[in-house]
Amino acid sequence: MHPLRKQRIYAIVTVLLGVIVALVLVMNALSKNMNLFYSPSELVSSNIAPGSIIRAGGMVASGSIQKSTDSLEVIFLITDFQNSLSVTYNGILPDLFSEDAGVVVKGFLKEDGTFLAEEVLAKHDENYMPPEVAKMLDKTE
Amino acid sequence: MLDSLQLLFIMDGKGPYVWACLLILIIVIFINLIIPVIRLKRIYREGTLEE
Amino acid sequence: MGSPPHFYKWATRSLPWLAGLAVIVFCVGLTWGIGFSPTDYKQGDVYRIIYIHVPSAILAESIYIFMAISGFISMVWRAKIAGMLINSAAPIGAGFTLVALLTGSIWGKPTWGTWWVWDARLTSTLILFFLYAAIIGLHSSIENKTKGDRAVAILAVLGVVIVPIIKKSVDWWQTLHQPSTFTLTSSPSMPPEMYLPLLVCVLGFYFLFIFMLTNSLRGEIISRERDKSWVKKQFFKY
Repeated sequence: MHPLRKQRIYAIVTVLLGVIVALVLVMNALSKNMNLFYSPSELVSSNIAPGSIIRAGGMVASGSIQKSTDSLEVIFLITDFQNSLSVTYNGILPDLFSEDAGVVVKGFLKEDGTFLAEEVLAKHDENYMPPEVAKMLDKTE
Repeated sequence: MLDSLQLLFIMDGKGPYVWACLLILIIVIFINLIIPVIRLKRIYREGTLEE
Repeated sequence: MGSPPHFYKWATRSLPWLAGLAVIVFCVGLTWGIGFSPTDYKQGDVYRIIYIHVPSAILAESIYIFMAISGFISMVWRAKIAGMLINSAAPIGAGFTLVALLTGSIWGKPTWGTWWVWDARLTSTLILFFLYAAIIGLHSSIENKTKGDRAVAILAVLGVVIVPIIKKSVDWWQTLHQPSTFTLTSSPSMPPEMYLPLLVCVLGFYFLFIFMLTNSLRGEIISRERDKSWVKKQFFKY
């Protein structure tokens, strides 16, 4: 190959590597901020001040949803299967909100360690199937 | 036949979301296809006027 | 081989064939996916947006990789056609990125409960859109086309680092967006009657991109070479 072209290739690869290294460093530094939410375990280990607005996420623990009979208030546990967090929410839940499904809540920790949510988002998983297949899977389980 | 088409259109109330997405897709593709054609036509007009 | 007149001739001749192929596969895929595939057990019919959203997102990333390769060729071999390919592909890539963002937003409202969150997947895709916009803007703002080609090639090559970030964002960070349904290492987490139409859609979108690129490349070649004698002969016919 022409030496000039070889030189250009080396230059491009060097600059590209430099950009990648710089980016890895920046992303490492920002890593905490790039997560959309804290898991219950992260909330336990980090000392986030009660009252500051954060997002928490995990699975809605099965059998933990308690709906109030006279208001929109709902209390549920979100879990990452090591720790769990009790969440209180007063409002309309998204359609996909259910037990054993992922959820991301925005709000703040109260002094008693429970979470008061002002927004609940459903996190859906990457699995898709027709209803009949889902029913059959349910039966075999 | 007509009933099933209507069902397809409404999609349990979720139809507007799906059809809006399709509309956006078609509009964006159309714009991207038409711009180069207009550009060629303009160059052709300018080029033949010069002669 | 790599000369603009040759490419122009090839583009003009193949355009109707590319258009036919693209339209057929694209329509078959979308009709199959939106009209005939089974509904989803959890999301219902709104999941059908996947047949628009996923192919658009795949193209958004693929087109950027294509531009980066063209940029590399443009920088090393100084091939004029490589620069033209970047300029032709950028608006198409920006278009599909916009479709991916908008359809994702429309899909997010009924499923997640929000149009937008600043999670890593959504934010990195927005950055990809801005990169496309920067490439389009950079080239049109530089008067000297040879210099413009070089500047754009550098941006195309360096910007490609965003693609693996978008791809892996859902694994590296906690996001609202779910992980990929399709991975190289395991079987897809949807049945064949759902993923086959999706595969046809992806194929159709790729054909559509080749058609759109060829269509746009003709304009780019003629516009850049309008003072050359071959353009006078072949395009203006005198």
